[in-house]
Amino acid sequence: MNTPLTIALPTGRLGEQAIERLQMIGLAKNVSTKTRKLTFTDDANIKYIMVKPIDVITYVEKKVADVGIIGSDVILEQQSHVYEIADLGFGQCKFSLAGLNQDILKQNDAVLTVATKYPMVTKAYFKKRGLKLEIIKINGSVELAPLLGLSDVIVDIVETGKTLKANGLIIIEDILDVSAKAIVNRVSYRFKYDVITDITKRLENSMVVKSND
Amino acid sequence: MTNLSLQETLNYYQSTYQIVKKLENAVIQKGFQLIAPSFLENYNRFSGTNRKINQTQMVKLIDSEGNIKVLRPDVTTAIINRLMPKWDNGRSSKVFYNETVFLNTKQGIEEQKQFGVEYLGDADDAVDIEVINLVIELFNTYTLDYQIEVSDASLLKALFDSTCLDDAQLETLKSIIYHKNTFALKQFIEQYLQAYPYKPFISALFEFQGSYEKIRAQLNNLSLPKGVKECFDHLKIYSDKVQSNKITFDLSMLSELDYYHGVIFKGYLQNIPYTVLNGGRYNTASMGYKKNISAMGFSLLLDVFTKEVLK
Repeated sequence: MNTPLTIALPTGRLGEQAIERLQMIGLAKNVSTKTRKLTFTDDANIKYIMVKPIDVITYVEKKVADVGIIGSDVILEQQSHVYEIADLGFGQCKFSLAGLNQDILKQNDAVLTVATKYPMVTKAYFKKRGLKLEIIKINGSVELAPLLGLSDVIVDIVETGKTLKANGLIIIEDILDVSAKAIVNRVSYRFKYDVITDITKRLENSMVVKSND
Repeated sequence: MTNLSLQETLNYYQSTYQIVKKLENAVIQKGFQLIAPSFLENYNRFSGTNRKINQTQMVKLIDSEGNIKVLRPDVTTAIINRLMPKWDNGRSSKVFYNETVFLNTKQGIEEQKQFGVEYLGDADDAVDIEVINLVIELFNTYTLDYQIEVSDASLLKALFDSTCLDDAQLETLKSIIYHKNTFALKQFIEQYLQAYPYKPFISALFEFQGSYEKIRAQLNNLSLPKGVKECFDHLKIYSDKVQSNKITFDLSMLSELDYYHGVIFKGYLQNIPYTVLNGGRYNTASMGYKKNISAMGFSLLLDVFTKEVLK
């Protein structure tokens, strides 16, 4: 006997967009980020849990939630075993390499220091380039690092580029695109295949409707 | 929360022993004999035999002569290493094990108890069906809510062979398939497989799952790479002869171990968040031996299985 479906949603802006998209397909009508409540059950008996973005994968991998909605930046950094069955088309931004000037990569054989919240993504990106590298993991205000001499460059998520510009940084290279994905636990996928694929397909279709608006 | 008393601890071990004993009796009744391979393996031979096991996960030891040993991370390879030097052509053997494997993880060295069988020497559909039915019997014995996923490892190999992708591109494609990443697959096809003659098949790869009949209807009228149709046709025998309605065929199922070449299967339990059972057909040549012995087996994560049964 299958238990009801549980969906993990990230708190913050991405979660709000996910709820809006779920409501477009008639789900999550009573789910709101404007309350301190962290769990909801809607008319379709689907349970929603609101968790920090960085924890969405953990909840899905441990099968507390069957499905999760999360940015591909978190997926790439955590390298989990979950299925990534749909691109939901919102939360679009990009990973970029930024610094004080374009020439910073042309330095001689010295070690390039990179500050980032995403060491795995950074390591994978620089692997192909054969540069000597020191990755400095920091958890916030990454833009400060080159300004204060903590690093030569940064790798971070860029949505509009305004924060970089305000701090005198420029994009040296774009690394890859980021957007919201639907992830699924492997066991849930097998036990609840029909309901999971039905919802994710409807979410994908809602993306088309939204973009035609 | 309080710790278990001494008596409760002993009772717990007694209960788990009874579960394991029942598993052992079930396979002994089917003619399997116990085997206990060595804990230690030669590092170079082991990593050469099983290239898919991540070398950073192996627990390495150095003996007094400077030889590197590995605490086995996999029992099947250890059994093959033990039996192959003594193997007589033409014979067959049914063995089972109840052993511990060791893995280096982020949390330190992890011990994992595994129970499994290996049916060596008979490359026969009847053997494959017997082993899969044995898995179902074990799950049914404890009335567990399970699902078994079945495919043929040669099916995806035939698909890969039909492309002109280089090794790095193939690794990317395997990772995409392993994660059932629909969006990345679409991008990959656009980038590397624009002129691929079987584009409709690979584009819909993740949809080919469910009952055999459902997939057959989906594949109808689709042009398939050489070897894929044969592999799929061969899966019908499992649809016909495996005695369970909890079998799902999944043509995009990718095994973590690259020595499988025939039927492969995974077992899931409703309350366990990951695969509890892996199995399939392999041959010893693909594991680096000169003797090519075909074998069929499965491995069950015993700790999580007993914990689930005791709930």
